[in-house]
Amino acid sequence: MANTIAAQASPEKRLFISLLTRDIPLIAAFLDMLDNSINAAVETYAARLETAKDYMTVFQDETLCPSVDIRLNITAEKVEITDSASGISAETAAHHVFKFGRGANETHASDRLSVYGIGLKRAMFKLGNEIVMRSDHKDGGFDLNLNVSEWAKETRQPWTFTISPRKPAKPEKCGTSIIVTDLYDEVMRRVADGVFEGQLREVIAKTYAYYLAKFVNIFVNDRLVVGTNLQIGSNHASEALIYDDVTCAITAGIGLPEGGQFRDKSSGWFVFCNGRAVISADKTPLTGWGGGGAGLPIFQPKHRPFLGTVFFVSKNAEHLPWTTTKSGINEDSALWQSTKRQMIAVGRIVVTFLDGRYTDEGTEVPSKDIQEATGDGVSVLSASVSQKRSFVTPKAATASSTTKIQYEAKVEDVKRIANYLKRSSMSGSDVGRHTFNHFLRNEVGEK
Amino acid sequence: MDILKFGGDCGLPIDRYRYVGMGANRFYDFLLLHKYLGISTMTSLEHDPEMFKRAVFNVPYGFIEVQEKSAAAFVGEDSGEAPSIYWLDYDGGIGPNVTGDISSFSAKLKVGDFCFVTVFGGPPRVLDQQNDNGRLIWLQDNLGDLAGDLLIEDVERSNFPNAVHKLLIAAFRNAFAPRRDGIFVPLLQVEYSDSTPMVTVGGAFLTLGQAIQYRSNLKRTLPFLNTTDAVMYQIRSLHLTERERALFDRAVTSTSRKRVEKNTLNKLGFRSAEIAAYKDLVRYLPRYVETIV
Repeated sequence: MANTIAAQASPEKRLFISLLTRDIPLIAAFLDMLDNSINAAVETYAARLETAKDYMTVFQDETLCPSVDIRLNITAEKVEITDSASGISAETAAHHVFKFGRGANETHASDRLSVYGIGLKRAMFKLGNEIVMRSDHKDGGFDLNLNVSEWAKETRQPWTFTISPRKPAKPEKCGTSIIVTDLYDEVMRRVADGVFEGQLREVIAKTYAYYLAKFVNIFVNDRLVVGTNLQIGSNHASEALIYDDVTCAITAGIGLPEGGQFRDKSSGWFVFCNGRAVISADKTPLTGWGGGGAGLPIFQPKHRPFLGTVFFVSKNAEHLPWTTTKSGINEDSALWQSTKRQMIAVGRIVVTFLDGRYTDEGTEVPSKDIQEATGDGVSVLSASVSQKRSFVTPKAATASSTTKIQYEAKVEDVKRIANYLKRSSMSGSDVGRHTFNHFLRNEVGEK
Repeated sequence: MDILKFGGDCGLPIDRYRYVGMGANRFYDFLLLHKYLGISTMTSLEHDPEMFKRAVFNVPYGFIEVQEKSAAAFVGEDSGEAPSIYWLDYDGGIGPNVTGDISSFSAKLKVGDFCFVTVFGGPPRVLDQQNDNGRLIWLQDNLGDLAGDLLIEDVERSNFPNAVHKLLIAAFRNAFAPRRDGIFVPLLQVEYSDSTPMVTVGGAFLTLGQAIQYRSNLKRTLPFLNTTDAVMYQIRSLHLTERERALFDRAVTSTSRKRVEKNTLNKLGFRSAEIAAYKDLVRYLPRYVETIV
């Protein structure tokens, strides 16, 4: 029998931390921290949140309103997140919370947004070197003081964090706080770049619209974030699907214009996993756009009224098709591939209707024309889990009694006319309209 | 002027700087900068062909070069090595052209350079017919993430200077965020009004040492200007007569405990806030006179 040698294959902490944090954007890291707090906030409602229909029933429960506050305070020196949820017990912290990944047989029936068991650690490692975490729980919480660079130098196996138990807390005192200081240079620069806070607030509003409505209040630098209220016309198509323990509701229709326009940020596909938006306003091949004959066409401005949603729900969050950062879809998952085909089928009738509005006068569709086909607005969340229905293509409108006239004219000549009329601020189209009316009145004569 | 003067204390030879502004046909800023700071390398940008002819005709000093260019065209072609002060004084309101220029100029700014932007404080003309929601949507759609911090109350017509200020300061911060050779210090964030509201935001790109020195000097002499946070100072228009002004001067500079002047001002209807505002600016308020030529 040949001799064997055990070759070293254990991970280096430094490489591990680098791999873990390199591919997650800073905003997604903050969302990971929020996921943790929201997951704790909905723990007691988990039994009511098992299917897409359950999510809707809870959403429509008027007795339910946010009961947990999550406060995120961010400066160039310090990041602090606190929540008033039920906290983490020392027991849970010792055996589960700080493990990188979950054991093969480890299940947490009440988890909805906690999936892979790496988000919190990855977020903390992404931000800075000094981490202070404190949690108060009814069975006794814990304190953690972690210097990441010192921890990375330790070679002892297995990897551990040193925590100190805390006494049991009264329910009103429970909750968790994490303070990260000695922030990394790239983090300090990013949070002070003048746009970060606004971006974060907008992403939170979109990502957690469902949870902001019913479970949590989130404050960023003391300002309450209001969830995005996406609305879809009541004339929409929807389809419900079940894949093992995952339920899925697909909806496609026409969004509602804002300020008289269909906005780019409110159009395309929105995908939710357990109530959390994973991708928003997607118009790429990921969701079937630009797929040629087998998919939807390349997204163009005329498609801007299109709004589609996909609502995946499972009590086993790992069965959902989200990536580990929860800011993307695992394109190769069998679940996603099946769903994508259904999305294309459901969305095609709406896209075909919008394509039919294309005229020689441009790809921008007049919003008034589209609104007639839309119907009243309903929340995308309620539309997502409504019964199977089809989009009703409106009958083609009768031919318009007006047409557009466009022609080139020298700027100097347009100015001369405006000056002649003693209205130097007239635009080119004003001058065109005036001269047309003048000719109609004086040369052709009124009807 | 006073803000630029502090440059000398921080080792910046302001009199050898180049000034790039938008002097139109009157060149007020050019006259002051030459007269009080000794700057004699100057460029005025004028994109309007009609106004360009008048600008060339009215140019007050031979060393002012008038270029028929927009700010964007200038910054794209400029290869000047001299330390510079840029003052982009726009005719219109806030828009992607303004924030785009801030981004372009910031990429060119060297350590020690200054950049200021002045725009109309009200809604730009394209938003004349829009309500609050329409204005907010337009700003979000056209200025993207820079508008991420705007609230609906910021874009109310009466509050619009606040929206302009938030957008300008976000544009400056965002533009300089990737730079590692210095830090951007906002030296001036003010709103003022004669007939229309105007907002000016700007500052200097400095080394850490210069930034500390500059902030310290400004805190001592112009304490109402915030050089760290996004806080705009509103310069009040007091519209005073010469007699009232003399009373204000005595009221805010008197060391006596007697409050005769303040009481008189109160009786005339001036409030404490106006007296406090005058005190901030007593050294800097211009004096207007009427002359017949």
